[in-house]
Amino acid sequence: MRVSRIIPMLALVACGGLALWGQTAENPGAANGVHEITLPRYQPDLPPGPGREAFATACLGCHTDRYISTQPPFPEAKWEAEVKKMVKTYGCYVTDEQVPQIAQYAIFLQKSPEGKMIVPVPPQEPGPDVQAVASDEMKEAGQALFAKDCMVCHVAALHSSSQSKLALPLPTDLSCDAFSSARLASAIHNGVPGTAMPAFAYLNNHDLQALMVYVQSLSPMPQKVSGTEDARQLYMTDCLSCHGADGRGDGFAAAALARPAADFTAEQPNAEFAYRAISDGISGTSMPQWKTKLSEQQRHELADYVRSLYAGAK
Amino acid sequence: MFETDRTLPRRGFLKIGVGLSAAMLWPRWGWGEIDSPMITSDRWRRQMAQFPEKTDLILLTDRPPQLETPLKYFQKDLTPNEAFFVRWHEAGIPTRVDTNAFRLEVGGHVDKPLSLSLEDLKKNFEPVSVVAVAQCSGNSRSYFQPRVPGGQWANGAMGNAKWTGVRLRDLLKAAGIKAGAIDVSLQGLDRPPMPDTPVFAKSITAEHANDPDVIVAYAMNDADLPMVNGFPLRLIVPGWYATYWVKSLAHIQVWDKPFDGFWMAKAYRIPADASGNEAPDKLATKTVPINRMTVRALFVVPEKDQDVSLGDTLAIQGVAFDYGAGIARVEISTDGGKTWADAKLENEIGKYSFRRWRYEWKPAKAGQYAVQCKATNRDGKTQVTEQWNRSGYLRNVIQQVNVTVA
Repeated sequence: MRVSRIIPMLALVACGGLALWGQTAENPGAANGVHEITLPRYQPDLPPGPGREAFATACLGCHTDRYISTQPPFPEAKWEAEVKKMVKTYGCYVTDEQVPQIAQYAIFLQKSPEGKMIVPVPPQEPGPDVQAVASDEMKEAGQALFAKDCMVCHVAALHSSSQSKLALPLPTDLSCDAFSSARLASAIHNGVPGTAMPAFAYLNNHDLQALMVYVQSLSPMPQKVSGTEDARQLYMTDCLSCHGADGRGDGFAAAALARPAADFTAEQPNAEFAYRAISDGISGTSMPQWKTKLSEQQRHELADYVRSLYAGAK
Repeated sequence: MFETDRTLPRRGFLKIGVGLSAAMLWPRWGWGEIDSPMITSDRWRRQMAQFPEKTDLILLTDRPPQLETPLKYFQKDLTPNEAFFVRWHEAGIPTRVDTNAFRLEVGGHVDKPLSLSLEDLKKNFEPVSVVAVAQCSGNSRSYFQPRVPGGQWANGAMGNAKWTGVRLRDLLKAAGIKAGAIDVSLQGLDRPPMPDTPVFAKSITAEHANDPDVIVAYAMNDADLPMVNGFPLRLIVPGWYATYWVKSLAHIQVWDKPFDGFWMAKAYRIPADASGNEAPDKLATKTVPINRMTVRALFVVPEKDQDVSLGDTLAIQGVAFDYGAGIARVEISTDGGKTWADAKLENEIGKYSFRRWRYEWKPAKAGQYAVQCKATNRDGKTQVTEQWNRSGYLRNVIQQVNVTVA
């Protein structure tokens, strides 16, 4: 399949996948004196445009894109002043060259066609309780399924030169992360909220397992990694708000994220990807960049620390 | 599950049913568009959203949530809890409170710091109630010209409720507030996602904290507060803008020097000039923390520009409120402010409450009418015709709706 045909398909997948979710507001339980609510999770609306990359990694950590898209039109100088205010007084980690880029994207948003109605996405649900037990036969069956349903996004689109036109966040590069069986089963069966990854709930357990086996064959082998005490303290200061104290993605500021914060007990990024994500953030998610805040060594140590949280490492 | 129907009727359709609100047209899972004529130049589409324990409200932002109350809810004295506006600053808002483990800490410049359970508050302190308007400092911000950045509220970032709780001064007395106290700072359970973002904390003076009307409320309209309105406790500072009404209040700190937290020293500031005004090309150099609300009257019916048939009577109604002196008078003009006639004031519920008013108007001739409403309080303070400040605060420009009689 040619890449030029892939892009519209991806857009379709993104729209369809997200629009089909519906959720009414839940009423809270008050069991045992505990009062709890489930916040709706809204998908960011980030049409391709100049400065999107900077915007999509710098701003969403603290607030929705609607903080920008609902603003009246302002000139570039006003937007730049607003971004600088975010850096100076609200502690946002933006590089100097990103300031005008973010302003440019804010203006682009103002000039784009009217924003979409947004609907909440559901939280991530567990998938079927199945294990990926590797065999040549399963891997082969999984490979065939992967070629049919998955390759278009996870390989062809991801490695095309048209990334800047894709919906954010980009499809996951499956060669960069080791995933637990439970994580894979959930992602494939239910889709991944806040991304273009649709649900493949029609797969029977055999096909699901086959696909899991094949995906795991693309993944790096889980590694036993140890983290330093310094890195742990850094994690507790900088990462806990979204990823949670144990790395489960359940931090106090993660409740309304469309794409759930990474659960490091269920996925282990390889060292290179972990370092890159910490340094540059992940576009279209609330993972911000830390390169302006943390030294290179700190980022490497932090990468090791989050890798050390994986439950499935042998 | 539902399918997206991109052919759903939009603004044009909604205009047919004057007075029929968008929220009534759409099912409860909340699609719908609010017609907001004064800000149609904006690209973004106003839409409804439903948050937990809330009804469909106008969605400004989702994380952190800013939700605006549709005007129809102001046809009653008290704004229902489920319709009360929502505004948070930090995305880490509380979503889970264990009411047995929750403690309100009172500390700082006191003899004996307290750690109070909800039961302590309810059992050991005298319960008091006050009906008071909570209004966002930036309510009506979208109407400023030139436009200013910030939450683009129309007129619904406000609500009136009966608040029940304990006096702040009773808590401070129990903690043994010491001589020389200057400020009392207040902080809730909300936290910023990023480590260098200033935690949301506000302060009032120790003298103000001694005002018996300032309370720590555990009930709103005789029910628990909705989580997004500040469960389990909210500070109530009647007459003052809602930025001081700290939600999910958990820490009270007494200071023997001025509190200089970011949200007092740098944010929520107004020009020091008594009018609160400044010019875009000549910003005020001296600013002070925002404080008491300005006097204002607002239309509730009609909500916006309206067509009326000649011979019909338009039953105009609205609300008025101020900082606690009490509303003395509301006047209506049907000629753009040249002449004024008194509206009928409804009963006064309390000096900090909405004062509802009505005006029956039967136009004698066809034509275009600029209908305005204006409140005056018992201190003789009234509304303004022009106003601007960089943050879009204090809005109390006389409101106008254009009525076409044919």
